[in-house]
Amino acid sequence: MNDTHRLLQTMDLDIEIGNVQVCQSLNWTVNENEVWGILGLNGVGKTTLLNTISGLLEANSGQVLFQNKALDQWPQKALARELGYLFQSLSHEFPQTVHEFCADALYPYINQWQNMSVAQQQIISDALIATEMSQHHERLINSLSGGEKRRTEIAGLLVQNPRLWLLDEPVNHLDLRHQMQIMQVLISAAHKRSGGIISIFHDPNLARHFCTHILLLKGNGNYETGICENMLTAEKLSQLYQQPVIELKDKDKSAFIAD
Amino acid sequence: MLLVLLSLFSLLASLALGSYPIALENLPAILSGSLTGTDAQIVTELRWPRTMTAFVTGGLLGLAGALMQVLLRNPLADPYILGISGGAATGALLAITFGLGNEWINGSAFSGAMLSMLLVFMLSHRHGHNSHFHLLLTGVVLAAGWGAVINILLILANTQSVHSMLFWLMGDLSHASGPSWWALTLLLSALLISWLIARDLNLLTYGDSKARSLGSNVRRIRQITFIIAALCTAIAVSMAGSIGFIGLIVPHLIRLIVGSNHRLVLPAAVLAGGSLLVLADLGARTLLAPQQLPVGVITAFIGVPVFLYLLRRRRNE
Repeated sequence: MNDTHRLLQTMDLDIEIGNVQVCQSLNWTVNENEVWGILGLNGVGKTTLLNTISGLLEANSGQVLFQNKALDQWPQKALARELGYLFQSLSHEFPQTVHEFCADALYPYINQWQNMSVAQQQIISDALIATEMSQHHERLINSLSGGEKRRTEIAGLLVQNPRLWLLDEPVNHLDLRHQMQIMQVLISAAHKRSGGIISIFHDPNLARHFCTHILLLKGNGNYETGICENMLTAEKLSQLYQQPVIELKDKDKSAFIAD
Repeated sequence: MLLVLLSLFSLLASLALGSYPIALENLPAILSGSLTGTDAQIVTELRWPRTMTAFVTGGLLGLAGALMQVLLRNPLADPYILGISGGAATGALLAITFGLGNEWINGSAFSGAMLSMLLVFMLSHRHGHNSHFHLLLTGVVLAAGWGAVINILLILANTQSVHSMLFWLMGDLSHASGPSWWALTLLLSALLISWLIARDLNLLTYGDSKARSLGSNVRRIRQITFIIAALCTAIAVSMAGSIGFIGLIVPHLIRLIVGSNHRLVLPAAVLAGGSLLVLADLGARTLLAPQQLPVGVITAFIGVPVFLYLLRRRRNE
């Protein structure tokens, strides 16, 4: 892979938060068209890792390169056009509507004097259609169900339309159908920009369905990276979750379940 | 649009009505200077300055309230929550204690507000997680401190100054002097600057992290917002004392009506705050005329029921 295909590169990254060692000398490369899943126990530092590679937190040592340029060298608005972050949850203290939330996600593309263009209006309606939120666009976010709120936040990210998508438990609160549908929407949006996805999952089956690569965060700074087939095995998952996991096979399908 | 009409209506009503009513059809002539006499004198020397002061003060409070709510991520915050008015009140009461004149009271109130603003700013100057929470706590604690000082001043004061002190504390426009063009200019510049960061303010309502991930320079925006909100509050309280409810009710009401886009919320809050205070002041000087009430009492009487009503029927629910 040459440089132009490289989205993210971490070099000897050390992250420590509180007394948790998230990772130690993490050397990791994410290329375009890759979908990475991050798996690990609660509290192991998955979100902290996303916060660091998005530039919200500083690492203790080491460097994060995004599109071959150090993260802190990026102008903020330019970075927001290339790197988007779906947070685990947002709290909405003010009475915003679904549409207002999506319109605010245009921030990196618009300056203070401009009004929304017709094309940008179209981007918002497309995002609302993709997340099946069109019929709710005038509703207040606080009046939505958990799953609808999640889809609103994802619609906002579709409007932001970055190249690298950082997703913290994207399918939280989503029903089975929307889990599959929304992941598909996100992956095709990333592909359209020759981008990539880094997503935290708690369900190894979902991760296997959508990911090409996996990063296992094992605690005490240990980690392992590799392609999906090699990382998602019953043995590795049992070790990772400190809980016996077995793989059930039926014809050409298989699933992990806790034993 | 509706708000512009409301503003004009409230201004005209305030100029025409009072313990000495003036015919509405004479107003244009008086304002353009072609009519003179007692009527004209009342309008240009008494009512016009007072109405202007009321409008500007209300506008400043509406704007400061809207900004403060975003800064603290709390739609129930008001301009006084960070102790800026407490500092102003302490300054004003000190001046009253020493028997100083109106200009001194205003100046002293302004210095107190500035001192309070600097204290909050320096003590809460820490960025990162929960910055709005830290700011809120610092301000609330300082406000409590000012409250104690105010009580001491009230207890030690002689009977005559206690009356002026209470009027000041409740908010009062009766000693408004001169059409304060500089205050109007300041209001307009504050509105312009905050309108230019309106999109950033929209993002801040979702939290600092979300705002940063969308490319907003959160630290700088928070600083600008704090300074504008604090200055507006300081000027408002030094002109008219701590008039309650405008800074809380107006932005809240506006959000329920026009939504949460601050490009609309901010100018609407200025117009609505101005109109509301003009009308409240009209009430303050006519309801028990010739006896004058502190305008803060009126805003509370209007504010409480309006607020409770709005809480019951929120937008889209």
